[in-house]
Amino acid sequence: MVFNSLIFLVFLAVVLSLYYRLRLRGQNILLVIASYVFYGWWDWRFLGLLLFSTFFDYWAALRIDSEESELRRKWFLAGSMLVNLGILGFFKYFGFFADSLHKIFALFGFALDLPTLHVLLPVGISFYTFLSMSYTIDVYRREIPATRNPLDFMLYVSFFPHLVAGPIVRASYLLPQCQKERDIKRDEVLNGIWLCLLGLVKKVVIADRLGMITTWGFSSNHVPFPDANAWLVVYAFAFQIYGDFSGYSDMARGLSKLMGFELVTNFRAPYLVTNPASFWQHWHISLSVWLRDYLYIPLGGNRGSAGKTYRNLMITMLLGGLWHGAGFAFLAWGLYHGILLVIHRLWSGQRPHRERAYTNRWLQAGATLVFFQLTSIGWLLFRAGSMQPDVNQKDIIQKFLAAMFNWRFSEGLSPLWWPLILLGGAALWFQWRHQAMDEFSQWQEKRQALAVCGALTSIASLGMFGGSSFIYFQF
Amino acid sequence: MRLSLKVSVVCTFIVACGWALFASFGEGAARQIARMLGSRLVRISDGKFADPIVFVHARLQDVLWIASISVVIIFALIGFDALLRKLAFYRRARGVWLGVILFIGVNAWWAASAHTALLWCLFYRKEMVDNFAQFQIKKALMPEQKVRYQIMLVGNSQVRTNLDEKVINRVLGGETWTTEVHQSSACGFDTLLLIRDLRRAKVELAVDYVSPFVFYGKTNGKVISQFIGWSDMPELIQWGGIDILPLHAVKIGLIGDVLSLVKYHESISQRVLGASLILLPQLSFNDAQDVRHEVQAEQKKNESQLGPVAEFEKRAFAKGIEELISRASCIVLIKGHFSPALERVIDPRIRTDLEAFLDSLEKRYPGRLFVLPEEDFIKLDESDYADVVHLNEEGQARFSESFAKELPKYLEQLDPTTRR
Repeated sequence: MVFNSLIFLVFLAVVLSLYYRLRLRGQNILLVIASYVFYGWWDWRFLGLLLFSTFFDYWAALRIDSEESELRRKWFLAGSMLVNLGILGFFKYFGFFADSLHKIFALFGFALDLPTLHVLLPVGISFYTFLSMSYTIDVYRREIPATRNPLDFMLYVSFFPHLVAGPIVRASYLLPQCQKERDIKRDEVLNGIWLCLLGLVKKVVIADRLGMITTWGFSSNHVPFPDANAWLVVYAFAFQIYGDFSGYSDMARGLSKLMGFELVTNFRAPYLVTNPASFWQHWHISLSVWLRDYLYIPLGGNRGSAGKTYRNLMITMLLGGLWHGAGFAFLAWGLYHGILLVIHRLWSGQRPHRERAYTNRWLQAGATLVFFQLTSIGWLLFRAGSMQPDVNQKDIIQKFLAAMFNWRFSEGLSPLWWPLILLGGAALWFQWRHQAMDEFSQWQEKRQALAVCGALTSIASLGMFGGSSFIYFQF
Repeated sequence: MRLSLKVSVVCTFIVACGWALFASFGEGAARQIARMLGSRLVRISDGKFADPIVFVHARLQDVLWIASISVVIIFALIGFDALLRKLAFYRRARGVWLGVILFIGVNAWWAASAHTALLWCLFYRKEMVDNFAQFQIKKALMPEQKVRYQIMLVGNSQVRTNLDEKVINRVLGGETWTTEVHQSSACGFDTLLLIRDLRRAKVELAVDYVSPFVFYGKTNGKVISQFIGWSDMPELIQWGGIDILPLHAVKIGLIGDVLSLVKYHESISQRVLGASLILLPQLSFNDAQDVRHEVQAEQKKNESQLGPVAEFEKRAFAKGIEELISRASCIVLIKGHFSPALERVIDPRIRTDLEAFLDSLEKRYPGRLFVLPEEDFIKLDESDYADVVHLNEEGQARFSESFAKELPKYLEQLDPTTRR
């Protein structure tokens, strides 16, 4: 059941109509049931896994909270992480590691006899395991007390707007909202409706339409263009993944607002930044924060020497890449962004996290453009990771890069540039006005009316109605 | 008086004056414009109409019709807003509700304006015109052709690739006008939907090219998503079509029957985003196709099958013929084929079943419906085909010329009382 489907609309209507009639406990029970129905609609066989992961961490956190001995607290935390990472490792990475081991041993002339398992990937597993782990870690760090209400915790983990593709919301942020009466305000409902519409526009108009270009461009063993027109396929994916993922996040936030919940913002104009450090503060923010707080900082962050900082950055980004997918292309993408961060740190000294203040607007525009090209090259690696298994990914990446850095339009401009400019331009405009998009309830009524009519009209007239899945559902 | 109401009243006055001027001077204005731009319009239209004066006159009427609809809808929106403002839930979220009302208004405007050729002319480009837009333009232009005999070629892409309306118009001359209205991949039920959509077309002679694909192939759902309506559902359910047709296409079609933007969204997308994007899946499919007909035939041979799907398509097609026969004096069904390469490998029982079905239709409507085997007027071979289903340009030209020479004998049989 995807957000952009008719069946979800029916589901939402039923859930909301019951939700507004209930009080806290009834609402929580309803939402947990609804969330499990939502998740089970994908594949009911993985409900047990979600339930097991939830209850294990609920129990582990209670034990961590109640134990006096630091060693025993660590054991329970380790247990929680082992279970979560074990589940993730098995379902997501078993095939990849087995295949890699085969290849490594084959290099030395050994044939390794490991079992080949065709394991189905449970949807959203990377998200809810990280969500659940962050809870037990925060309890261990004594940042939050363990909840003694299993229903509240079940709701925190399985809350359907964010269950399958985030944002990865910290327990300190969302759990209190699950525990107290929700105040459903008119302004937040209006904002919620608008965010849902906006997310739908980004998904079915921008992402799905540009997805036609990327599907065509990455579908075979040869690149679609031998010249600089190849950039348009890469740009198309850049805007597709933005529209897809930020569209999902907008809908997740919008749906939550309709029920009185507040989720964190996951995107903030990521293609209008000028450096990689800022990029990761504007793109998939919840994952960046998770990786920073639970990986980068525990590794030492930037507190040690420069060399250790670079090492920590590289490890974090490599694992961040691996989180996205079990494949060398995703590792390469993580490595690429790690290198960009290291270079940026070298370039800008000790305060790389601050967006450099460009005095000249043209310089800033130029820096934004240059960084967008660098980001797009990274997306080429990312998208190659999702190609068909029979396609030689390394070969395709090399051919694409050769065509892109040809810098000539030997076959003239492809007519596909037009839809890219239109839809990519719309995506950039949404990024530029992202703050205003969050203030819909403050707009004048006429402006609201035009925006709603415009959104509905663009969805109905330009959208794709296949009920296509979201890209990040595969992670 | 509020500004929007004032503006609406002024617009109403202007439109009313427009109608009055049109009634008085419309023909003269059309003649003048046709004198200046007529030959250019005929050239751009690529043979979609013969008389530029009639075309221009009708387009002037379209302008006034669209303007009138716009004024009516604006008044309706103002009225709804004023009425609903009395309700508390509306006032609390007026911006959102007004946006929804505006959206409904846009859909109503499209639904009403889509009957005019003028609106669809905005979608017209000489090359790469969306199929659906072409269909709508031709449908709107058909009643404007003041000829003795109106001939309609209706069906799937084989109608388009086999029968060139321009060739037929050239061969038959000024007493007849032929319009080809096809939709790709149209099977039996799709053809019924097309016939229903063309209910206002008064034609003397209707022609369809009926090859095994029409009943034994599988629809891709495109026609359904653009033409099906709620009024088609009782029959669809009764015939068991719900289990046969792509459900997603049916859902989109039914939503489109209520929200016209959804119905026309492929055409709008193609116009706004460009045909090169919308046709990418087709391009990928074409690129993946082997050029050798034998290989294509092997890939396609199992796509044509006897069974419940074929029975459903035949039943729907027969219903379409029943409805068409009440509007057209005469129907000619060309008993068609695939290319020899494909004909050799498909199940021979399909050919037998097809012929029996067409013969039964001919017996049901004696003197009104004629089944014309294509081998009676043309011999085609492999070299005439672009792929295993469609003729190439040379094949189409030969086919159209030969078929056009067959038509006069059917026109002679027309009941004089039904002629224009």
